[in-house]
Amino acid sequence: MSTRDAEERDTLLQGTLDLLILRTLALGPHHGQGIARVIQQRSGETLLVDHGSLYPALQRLESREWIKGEWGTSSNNRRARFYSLTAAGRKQFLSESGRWNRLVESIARVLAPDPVEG
Amino acid sequence: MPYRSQRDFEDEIRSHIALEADRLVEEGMSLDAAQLAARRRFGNVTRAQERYHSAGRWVWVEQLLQDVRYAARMLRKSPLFSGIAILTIALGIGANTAVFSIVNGVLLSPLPYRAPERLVKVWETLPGLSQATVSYPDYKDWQERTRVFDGVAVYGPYANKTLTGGDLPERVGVGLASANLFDVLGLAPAIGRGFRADEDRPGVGRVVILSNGFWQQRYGGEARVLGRTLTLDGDPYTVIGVLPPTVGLGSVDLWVPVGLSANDPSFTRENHPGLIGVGRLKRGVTITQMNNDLARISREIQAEHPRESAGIGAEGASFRELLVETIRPALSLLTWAVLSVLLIACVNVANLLLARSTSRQKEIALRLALGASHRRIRSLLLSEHLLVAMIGGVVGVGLAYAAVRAVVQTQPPGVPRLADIHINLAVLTFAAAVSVVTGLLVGLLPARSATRIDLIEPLKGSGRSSATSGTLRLRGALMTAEVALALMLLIGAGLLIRSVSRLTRVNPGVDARGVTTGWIFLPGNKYPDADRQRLALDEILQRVETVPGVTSAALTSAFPLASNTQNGVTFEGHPKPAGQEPLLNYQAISREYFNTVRMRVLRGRGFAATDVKGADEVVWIDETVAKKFFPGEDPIGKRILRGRFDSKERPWTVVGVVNDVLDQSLGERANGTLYRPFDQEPQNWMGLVINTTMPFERVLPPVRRGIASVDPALPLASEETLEHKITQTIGQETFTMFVLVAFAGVALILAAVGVYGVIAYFVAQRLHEIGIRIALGARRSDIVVLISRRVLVTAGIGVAVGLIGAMAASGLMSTLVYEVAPTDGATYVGSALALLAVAALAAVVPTLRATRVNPASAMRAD
Repeated sequence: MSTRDAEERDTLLQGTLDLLILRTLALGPHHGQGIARVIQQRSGETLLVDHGSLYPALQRLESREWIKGEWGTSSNNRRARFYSLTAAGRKQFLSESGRWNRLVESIARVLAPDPVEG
Repeated sequence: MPYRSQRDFEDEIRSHIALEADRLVEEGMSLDAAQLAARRRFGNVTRAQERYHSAGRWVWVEQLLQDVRYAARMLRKSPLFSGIAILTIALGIGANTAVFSIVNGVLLSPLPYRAPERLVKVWETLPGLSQATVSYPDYKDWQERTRVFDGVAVYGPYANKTLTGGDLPERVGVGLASANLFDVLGLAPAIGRGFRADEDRPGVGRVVILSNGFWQQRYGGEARVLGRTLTLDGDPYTVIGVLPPTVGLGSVDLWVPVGLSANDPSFTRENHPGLIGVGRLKRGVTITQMNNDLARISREIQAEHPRESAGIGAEGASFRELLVETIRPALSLLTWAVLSVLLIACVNVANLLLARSTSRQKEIALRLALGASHRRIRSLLLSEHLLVAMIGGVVGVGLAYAAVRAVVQTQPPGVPRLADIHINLAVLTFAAAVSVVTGLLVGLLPARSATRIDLIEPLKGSGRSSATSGTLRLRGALMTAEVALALMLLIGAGLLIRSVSRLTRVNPGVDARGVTTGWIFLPGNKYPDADRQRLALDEILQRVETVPGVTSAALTSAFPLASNTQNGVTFEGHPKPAGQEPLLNYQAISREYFNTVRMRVLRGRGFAATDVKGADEVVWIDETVAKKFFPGEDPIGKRILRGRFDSKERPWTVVGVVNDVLDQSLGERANGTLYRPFDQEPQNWMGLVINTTMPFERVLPPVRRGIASVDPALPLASEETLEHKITQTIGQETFTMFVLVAFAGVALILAAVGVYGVIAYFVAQRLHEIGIRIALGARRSDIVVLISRRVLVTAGIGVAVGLIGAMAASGLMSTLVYEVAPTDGATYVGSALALLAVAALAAVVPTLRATRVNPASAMRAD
């Protein structure tokens, strides 16, 4: 990844990584690299996950018992730690994404072009 | 979240990088390039690992271990500091643990009986005697008529019998027990069975139950003892059971059914033969309700037996309360005292740590500058303090163990339940809790002030730091507190010393020097009547008198300060209504008694050779009796009648007045005693008093041989010197005093160390200034004044606070001192002066150091 790449792509907003991980795991269990990959793909290659900060985030979520990790085997036969959503995690994801959507809507409203007066 | 090892996390990162490389290869990259790219894409692996690590829940364990390792290293590096700190805390915690183990054993742990909170003891009340033992027929009536007890029993712990069959005849403590006693207590026999109701009456096969102690000591806890026969006073008894350990039932070796004695003359209604009632209250019944019910039964008995039971009532109180009531004030005083010792120890160690944290400012500043968080530094210091406290706690428990062993072995009189005093789990938990609290307490101030430092100054290398004045104030306050606490302890100890010294100076009324005492019991089956008893005891006395070294010997039914028999008497010409007769101590003596214990005959005559059986019945009275019952009259020639005004006994004629002798203990007044010739009223147990010119141990063997030459089956029991007997009566007071004096001594030493520390620190901090003062022409004396002022102000405030505190706490002492006011001015002033003197002494060395300052080097030092 070159510096240019990084400039063209958006870095993640602070605090959104947790939500993205939950969203990704809502689709099904993934290992860490898979999660990074899915986020990148689903964002149309615009959101770049810092692999280094992915793991502390995973650990944080796991310690809150929203996700749980288990060692398994990847599709190409590598040992990997697979994460899946717990019931509490699913609940958290729903409320968190609702909050996010409302936030985006509000921001969009603020940013909307000035209404024409009169 | 379950614990994940670092290794597990590393595995995950490795797997991530491999998966990423796989993907890149799939996209067409070469393997080497893909691996490199994947690693780069991941970023800093170590940093990720660190971030993983510090976010984990387990990190504190690791940090704690690290801190403890570091703390241990720091302690090893300054062994003097560590040694003093640990020893100080060990003293504090040790003393607390020891006192707690006593409090726990004596006051807190439950009695070894079923539902002990419902157990009560019951006694009778006579006019003029608030606690008398129980008449057997009265007890029988209680049993039938009670509405408040699930069960009521009696026991008599005072009997003695001679056990024969071993090498030597010996006196054993025999307890009389009603058949239901152990049921009422809820005490199942350890082996065998209890008494059956049909064994609890006269004239049946004799059975005996062993106390646990006697069983262990004599039979090594063997079950085969069941069915054996023991010979007591010549009668065979079959062993049917063994009790578990008991508490509060007196020192009894063997229990026999009380009913065996039911036909004894002393078991009639008007007698009180040493029996004590034990009741189990029905659920929900209060002590007041019980006493009301006992009063009701007593009224019924009085109505039915107006002659024998006039004026007799009954009362009871909680079994446990009766057991601990006399020791409770002493224990609560010691608890407060020992807490003060611990506080002083804490203050001292806190002071030490403060001094040290000041000298460690540089290290701490460096740590902070390198990015350690304040929390991390505090936890580091805290683990040091906790470690010191923990080690101190372990050493302290060792000290406590030794102290408790020593206390239990010395068997201080008046301390109940000695066998229940152990260092057990409860005590260890207490010690651990105290250690932790101590660690926190000790570390709180230093840790706070240590992290509140300026980063720049210490690192610049200046020895003087900006925290100095605050720290000095803090240390001054700690010293004040320490002085105040030490003074309070000193005053308490001073009061007890004065009290005990008053007690030991009390004139008991006899001269105990060189007097040896012992008991002789004549078994009833061999010496059934007065003549045979008189003959045997006379012969024994003659043999004892001829032993070399014996200057005089006498028989007596009671020893000084240990009266054991009281009679209601009527003074001729001053009759009282039935039941209202004054109760006076009664003592039968032989001819040489007054000479042997060196009592004085104040009026009338002494004991004459003619005061024997068949002659005029005579009596000596003491001053108290003379003053109380013959005010302004000459008592000589007056007559006294045993019992009521209409008694049919022959009256006794007063032939002399002797000096008062204390009848219970050095701390109590005499009630009045009547002395009668043994020959005119013999009995089958008598005490022997022997005045010798040789030590007690050398006289005893020939005395024993003399007794054995009369009857080889007669032991001399509980032999001891009269001096020992008398000092034993204030044994509990002396014990409390010694313990408090020890605590006060420790407190004083710790306070001295504390004062020394603060003044030394003060001098060290002011060295620069002192140097300047000297350079500017200050004389040595000015420097002394400067420092003395400091000492006096700090210690003076402490003394003032301590005096006020001691006043406030004087209530704790009120029941413990004898003829000394708990606010005794002399003790207060003396203690305050002593403490100030010690403080001044502790300040001498640092002061001297200050006056020897070389101005040039002091000013250049920084």
